[in-house]
Amino acid sequence: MGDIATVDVAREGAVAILTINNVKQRNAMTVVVKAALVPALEAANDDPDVRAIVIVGAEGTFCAGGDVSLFGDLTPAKGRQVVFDQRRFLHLMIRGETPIVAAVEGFAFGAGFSLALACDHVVAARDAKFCAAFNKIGLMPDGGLLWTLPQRVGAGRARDMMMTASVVDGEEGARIGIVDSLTEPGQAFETALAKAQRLAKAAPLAVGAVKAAFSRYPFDLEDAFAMELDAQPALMLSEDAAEARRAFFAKQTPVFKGA
Amino acid sequence: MTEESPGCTLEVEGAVAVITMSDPKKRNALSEAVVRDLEAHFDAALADAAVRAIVLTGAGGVFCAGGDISGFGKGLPLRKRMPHLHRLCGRIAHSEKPVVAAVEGGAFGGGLSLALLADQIVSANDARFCSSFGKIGLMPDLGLLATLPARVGVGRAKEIMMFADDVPAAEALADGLVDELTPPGGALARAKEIAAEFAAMAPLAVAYTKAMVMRWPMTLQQELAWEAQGQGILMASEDLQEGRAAFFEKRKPVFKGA
Repeated sequence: MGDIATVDVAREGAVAILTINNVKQRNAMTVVVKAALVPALEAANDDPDVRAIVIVGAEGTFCAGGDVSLFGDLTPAKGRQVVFDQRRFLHLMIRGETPIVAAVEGFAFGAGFSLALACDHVVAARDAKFCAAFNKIGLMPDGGLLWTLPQRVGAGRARDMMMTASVVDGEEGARIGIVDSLTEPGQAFETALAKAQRLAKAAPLAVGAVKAAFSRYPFDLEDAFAMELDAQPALMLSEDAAEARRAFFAKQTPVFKGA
Repeated sequence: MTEESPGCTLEVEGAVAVITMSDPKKRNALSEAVVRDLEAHFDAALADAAVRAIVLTGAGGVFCAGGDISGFGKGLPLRKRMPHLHRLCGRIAHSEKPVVAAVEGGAFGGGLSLALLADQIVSANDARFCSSFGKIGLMPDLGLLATLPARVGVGRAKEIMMFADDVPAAEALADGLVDELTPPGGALARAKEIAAEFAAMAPLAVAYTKAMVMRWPMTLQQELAWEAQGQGILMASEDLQEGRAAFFEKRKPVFKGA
């Protein structure tokens, strides 16, 4: 199976683990990988028993970027299709209500960098390498990076990374806000799984509401008031909120079920 | 109400108003009385021309424990109450007088949201901050979805909101969640100093700056349009003349908000 590009799906309790497995091309986002990622994300989002998702790359590297081999016979129409296809899984990641943790070892370059930043929480090894490599091949950033990167590092730093295609390692990434949890090399997956398991225990509707809000980012304070006015009363009536109150007064750990 | 519930106090010292949430038994949770008094005291401080800056703090060594959990579990009453809470949020966020939060102990849930509506946050170095909403099955409210990412970035904001872990004061400072730390017990005194500094600045310039920043996020086009309007008015203010005169005379300006 080693030669066949795909996305492997595994389960660890309430966590779905999606492994990009295209080792020959350092897990590049080929048409085949993207086609496999869509149903894997759909299934994870739709399964009420999946409360969190980990995205990881096989054999020590996250994702080297887009499929450069494809670029030889590109036409504008084909190129547009490539970018359009990307939107399908980005929508599933950003509009889906299941939290996603990226486990980054090795390279997260180009489309791989975009993929990591489309996740809610980024775990990376100290020596992982992030790069908005697009302009090295004459392209602009895609995969939502123009939206996600400035949210994390500010417009100044985002411009610098996008215009110079400078490589940022895990440690620097943690300093500037690309990386949320920093680990020793080889430990990113383990830490990401632990983070995902914690998110899996959180109240799913409440976590989903936070994700839904951030899918609309940026919004101003008045929009935030409107979103909470819409959703908070419904959450207060949820079974999980009742369970939380019961557990609070009984000094127990609540067990949430997403209802 | 048969007896007066503990609410908030208002003290005016010179140009600085100090509003204190004073229900320490409930760790200054946002009961109806606390919310009612907060709104009344903000109205009074905003209406008082002598007041140029406002400090918001909590009594009994804690800022605010958040919503009043005893009232939870009733969705429709909250739907009715929330516009009222939002009115209070608007008083703080859209106050044209700068607001400095002084945090001792901690700010949790809605208490964290209130602190983040302030312009500057001073915290004791042993205080803790927690977006605790998720722990009780709720989403962040009172503006936190907008105010927290504006301070700490989206990645860190999601982490703080989704994991609902305590953020110790030192980490909060490093993240930009708070602006300054003091030794325990020192937050209020330092917040008053900062408020006094604000009070000495040109009130209209401070008001315009605050009003524009509160519209964040904005496009460059919007920013340029708004600054053209605001600056045009400020250029015609008496305080600009005073600022210019003081600069050339090498003295401190005395601004009057006109």
